[in-house]
Amino acid sequence: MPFGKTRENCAIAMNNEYHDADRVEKPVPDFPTAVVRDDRIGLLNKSNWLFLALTAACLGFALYLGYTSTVPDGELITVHFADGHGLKAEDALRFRGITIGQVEEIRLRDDLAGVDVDVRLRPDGEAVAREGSVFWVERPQLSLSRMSGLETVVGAKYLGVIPGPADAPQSSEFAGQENPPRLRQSSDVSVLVRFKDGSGIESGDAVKFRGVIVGEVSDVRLDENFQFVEVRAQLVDRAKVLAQTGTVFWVERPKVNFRDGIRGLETLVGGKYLALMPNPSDGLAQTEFEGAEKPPTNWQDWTPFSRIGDAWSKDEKNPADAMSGEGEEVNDRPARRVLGRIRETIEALDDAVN
Amino acid sequence: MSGFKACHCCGLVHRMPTLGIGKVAVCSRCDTPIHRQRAAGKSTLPTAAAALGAFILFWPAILLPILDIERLGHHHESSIVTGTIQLISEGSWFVGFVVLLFSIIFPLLKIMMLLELSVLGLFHRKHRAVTYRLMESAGKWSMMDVLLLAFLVMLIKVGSLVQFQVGPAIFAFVLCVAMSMLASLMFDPHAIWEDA
Repeated sequence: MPFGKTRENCAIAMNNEYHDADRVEKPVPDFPTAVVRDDRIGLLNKSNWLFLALTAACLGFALYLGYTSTVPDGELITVHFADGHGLKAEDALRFRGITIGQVEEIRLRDDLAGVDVDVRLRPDGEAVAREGSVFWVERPQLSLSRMSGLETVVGAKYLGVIPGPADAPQSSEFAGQENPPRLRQSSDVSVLVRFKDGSGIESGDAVKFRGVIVGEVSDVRLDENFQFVEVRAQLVDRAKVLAQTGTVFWVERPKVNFRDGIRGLETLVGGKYLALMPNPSDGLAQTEFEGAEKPPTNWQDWTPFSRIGDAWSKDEKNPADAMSGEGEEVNDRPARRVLGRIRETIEALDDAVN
Repeated sequence: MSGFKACHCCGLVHRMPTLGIGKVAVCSRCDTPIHRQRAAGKSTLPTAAAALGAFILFWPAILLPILDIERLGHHHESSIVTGTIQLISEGSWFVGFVVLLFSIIFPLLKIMMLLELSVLGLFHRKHRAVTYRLMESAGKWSMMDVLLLAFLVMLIKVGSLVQFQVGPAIFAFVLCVAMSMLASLMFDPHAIWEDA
């Protein structure tokens, strides 16, 4: 074994050096020769290219990482708000409960008139950057009729969005809404109602028809001449067909009346709402209305005298369409005539009583 | 290759036989490889390549976000550098400087010295010994791998309290640690005086 041999060799070397010092010629000490083997990691040693490739791979990976994390891949949009509401960079933009973007920067406007929020959209959320999209800062809302955004009391604020119509053109500048909308659906129709008196209605209040929320008040303001209160409301889903000529809007508020009894008591606690009664006959699509100061009489007995919705596009599936589609044409003309006569009679009686 | 070489493990001096390509001379007493014959090029090339790779990966590893912590909806992204700066600015001087020294400065120093020894050769030959000794001692204190371990421990321990995701820098960091280890593993001190 090499071990024993080596020790022998060493002993010889030492002998040569120290004990045979009296000899005349000094021979070179006899060192052992190193053992030659096959290099087990020979592959690494043989190829220079392997190492250069390794370095190149490192460089490539570093560049890739640098590129993907510094060059943003989504679109940048700007939303203008009057108030930042504690929003800060890195807060999320959420749609349908998931994050589709991130606030990149918040700047105060040069004229101090508001803040500009830059939002970097994720590639899959870029579709919300179209005209008509509504943005708001989600924050706690607590009132008798409404409680929302409670997760933002402790947690981070976030931006919410309702995308505009699907065929709207792309846009990158938006005006944010100050209040979170109550109805988280995209609106099809926006109507403008002019009232002599605002009666305390405010943005965020509901639009109800037969006690069901069909829309939302999005804006309340005085007109240019301080002559009217302009109430802008969004109607959603099928309710958009209610925006037609002859539809009456009024602000529902508590009222004690001998004829109708006590009504609108729920608005004492639940807040005011905008009520509407559609035109009983076919009307044309319309988006501007004069608001009524008091509710029309017997409005709850209202029956459609013809199929409503014809004024608006036909793509909306309503039950009447489905029925006629199956070939069972409902011939309700006589019934309508009878109802119309009854209604006229009632109105005549009303007049007589008054 | 003739001449004598001492085994750097047990110190026994050997006569060097002529080596063919892909052969390695090992110590006759303790089996430690003393000298290996490469096909072509400087014998420092593997070290140089690995050290260069580590040097390239070092920058994304410390500059890009390594952790994305989310607590109660608040996002916080931090890289090693910003995290260290934050530690120091928040008054944790000791911890901040420990991280700065042992996770940023020493590893960088080690990688750069390996590069200098294996490929650059900026210093005079007689200073190389100093550089080598400095590299050896700096290498002992470069603790990127320890930091990596700390991250792993944190992932397991704090994972249930806050939500967090690792950022892109973690991959660069792991690779950088591996490359710098590879470089120092393959570094042959004899090669310093081989040429010139």
